[in-house]
Amino acid sequence: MHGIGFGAEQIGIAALRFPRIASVCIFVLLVLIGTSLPNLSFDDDINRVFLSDSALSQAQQTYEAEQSPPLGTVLIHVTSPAALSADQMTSLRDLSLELEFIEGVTAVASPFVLRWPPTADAPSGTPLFGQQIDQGFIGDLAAFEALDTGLPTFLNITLTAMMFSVSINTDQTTVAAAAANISVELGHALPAGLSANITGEDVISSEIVSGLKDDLIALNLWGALMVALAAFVLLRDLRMALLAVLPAVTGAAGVLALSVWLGYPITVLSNVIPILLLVLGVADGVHLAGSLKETGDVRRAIETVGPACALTALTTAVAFASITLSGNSQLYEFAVLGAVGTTLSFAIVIVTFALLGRTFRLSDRAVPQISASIAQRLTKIGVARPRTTVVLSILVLILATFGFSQTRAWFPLYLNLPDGSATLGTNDAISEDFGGVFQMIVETDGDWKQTRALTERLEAASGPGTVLSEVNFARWLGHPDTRPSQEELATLPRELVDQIRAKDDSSRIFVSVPEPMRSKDTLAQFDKIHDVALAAGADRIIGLPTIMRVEAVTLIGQLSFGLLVAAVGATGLVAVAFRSVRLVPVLIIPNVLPLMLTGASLHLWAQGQLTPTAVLALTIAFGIAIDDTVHFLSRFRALTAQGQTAQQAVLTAAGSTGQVMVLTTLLLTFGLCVTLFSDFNPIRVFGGMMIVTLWAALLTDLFLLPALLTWKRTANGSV
Amino acid sequence: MVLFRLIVLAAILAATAGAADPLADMAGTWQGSGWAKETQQGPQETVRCRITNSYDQATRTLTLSGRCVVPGRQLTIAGSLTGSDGAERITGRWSSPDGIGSVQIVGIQREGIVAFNFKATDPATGRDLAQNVEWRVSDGALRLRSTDRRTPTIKMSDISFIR
Repeated sequence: MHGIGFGAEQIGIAALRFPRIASVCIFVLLVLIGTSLPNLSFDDDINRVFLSDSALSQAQQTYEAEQSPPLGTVLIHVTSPAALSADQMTSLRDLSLELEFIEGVTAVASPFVLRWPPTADAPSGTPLFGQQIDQGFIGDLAAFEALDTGLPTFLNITLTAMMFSVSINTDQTTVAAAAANISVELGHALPAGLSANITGEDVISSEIVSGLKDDLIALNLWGALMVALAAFVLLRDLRMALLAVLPAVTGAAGVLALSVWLGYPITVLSNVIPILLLVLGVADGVHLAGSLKETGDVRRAIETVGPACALTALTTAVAFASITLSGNSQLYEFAVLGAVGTTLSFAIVIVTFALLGRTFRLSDRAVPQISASIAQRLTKIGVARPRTTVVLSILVLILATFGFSQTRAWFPLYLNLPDGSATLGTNDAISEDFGGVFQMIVETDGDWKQTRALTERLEAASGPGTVLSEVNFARWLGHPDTRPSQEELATLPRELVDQIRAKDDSSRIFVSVPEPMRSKDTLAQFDKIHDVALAAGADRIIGLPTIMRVEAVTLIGQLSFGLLVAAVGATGLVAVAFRSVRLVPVLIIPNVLPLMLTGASLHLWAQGQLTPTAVLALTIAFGIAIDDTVHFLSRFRALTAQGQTAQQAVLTAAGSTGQVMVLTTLLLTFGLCVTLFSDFNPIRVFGGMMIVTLWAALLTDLFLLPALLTWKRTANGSV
Repeated sequence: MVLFRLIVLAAILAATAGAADPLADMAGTWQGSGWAKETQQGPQETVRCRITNSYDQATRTLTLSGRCVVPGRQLTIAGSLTGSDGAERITGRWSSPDGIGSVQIVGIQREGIVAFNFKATDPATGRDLAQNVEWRVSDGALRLRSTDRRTPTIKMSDISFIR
């Protein structure tokens, strides 16, 4: 019985043997954790997590490395209820000049940078908007557009919207700081009657990360508090509640500190690891505390429940480690943090429990029996008709698997924006007026003819004013058939030239596109442009929208593969731990069913979108499911070893372990409920999926698992 | 771009303008607004400048740094100008890594007006730049005006600075 934890529970026993040494170790660890947590860092580059070792990612990284200085972009979308007047244009021109003086700003692109083709008297071209702007600017704009250069005018057709593209040197300042300064400038320089909003790839990233950071800190604190309160209410014993929750909270804090020690910043993916370990830690804590209450002996509690806790930690660690098999170097940090963190968390939980269990004297008041009653009723139903239960469960599994297979790998960046953010509306408006906020970057190593053909086809696919390349400038210079000379390019802003011609033998074409997975229509539009670029001979297609479209989907595939490996590996590990090959089918169905049910439930609340967060939630779902199963099986095996029949054993296990499983599920549901109040949709979906998983796992473990364990067994069933 | 370099060059020369002790009067932060032309017959373009000067009494040297912009283009500037005790002559040097490079400046100051002429070559286009520059300092304000050196009736820039 004690062998299933591979002896890892002995850490707790050792803490009981050497309590002073263990106390000192925990104290030192707590001090280390306390001093490390202020150094916790969050990865501000939300896109980094999607980069892998693929050719696309490498091309993107090469492009980013070539940026000297590294640039970020802030887009300002100015709107007016009526067509912009000459006076408003004058004020906006002055605003564009003021923006140039903001710290870190290297260039401001706007309608005011437009110039007529160069002449002898004006080698750089005469500005379209002169010193005095009068109502004649409308005619000038029309005349400029009639040149058919394809250059963006940064004004919409109705002249009710204007866009500024502000380049920021991120060596000098952060995009967030520059955006804040831009907002201040807009506050006192924007003409009356106009409104302005800020957006851009980097601004969106910054908004998501900063919002997510605050939200996560708040949710973790409130979640832990809710779990503690729920534990107190449900267990009716403050000390037992503390025993269940404190070790888990310490373990989760330890994992956060571990990220500091390993030098890994918390990312939008890895932020779920502490939550997972808090969930598993609380589950272990309740099982251990329940056993302590039952036996009154902390050593016995650790010997009885500790091996199951150790095994669940081991299966979770294996699940994380399996992610390294995906071959994605960015996921490596995630996998290492998860695997090492799980091990560390288990060690902290079991040692802290041992130390607290020695000193805490639990009350004699019994744990409310309603949870035991629920568990036993469910088990009785399953045991009474095992064949029907199993067949019914398999049918549900088939249906759920079908539902899950109908989900679609999807990465909606916009859903990561906090509720009420004006950015989404601004992005949509920019997509409507100017093609989109995001820049697809098409690179070609071909000759001028190739560059020109590529530009023309992209313009046909994407729409007027959405494509920027050397070809636009060649048209502006009046010789579209030949590439602009270096002298001609010298009359343009250097930042622009560096972008469109990074090397002598290659050109870059920038296409403004909406967020690829904003809707089915935007995805179709993106894919069309992408296909046109490939068909027209593009050598590389990079940029954030391409990364989001291609690499995020690849990442979802890799995480799904990791999930599959985790499921197989963890099942195999549990079978090995119990030394029973026959256990494999018994484990597979009850553990895959909650996973599939949770996956299929995405159709109900996430439009069937399988996001990276959703796959991670499913991975955690499997961890939770197998956690319950291991505890139930461990108890079942102990009871059958004592001579109980399979039927007797499952009913007894339901009354003890099942009771704790119900309590744990209730407790964690309370804790996870706080996520439903998050400002972020992915966190709400994540929390919702966790709750669904917890209940699905509980139902299958109390309803299906006993049926499987008793089916075709009459007496002395063994696992 | 030529226009731009001319503006910046002229802005450097602002350091020489003065009343009783013009270089000392130039210390501080200045915001300039006005226009400039790239060529004699070229169009007037809207210009904004922001410069920060610091004056060292011991060496009678004014050090300047700042930025000038026209829509979509900006140039970082830096320079220094040194006067001599009891003499009208002022010498200095301006450097702009992304402009015309380093240029030696020599001028005179008289009754709050500083006058210069200079000649430089734009490394990007090879075009020769030659202008007369006049700076006036009065009541805490600066004004820059420049004309073409060959045809002085052609105005090339007019930028007013306030603190």
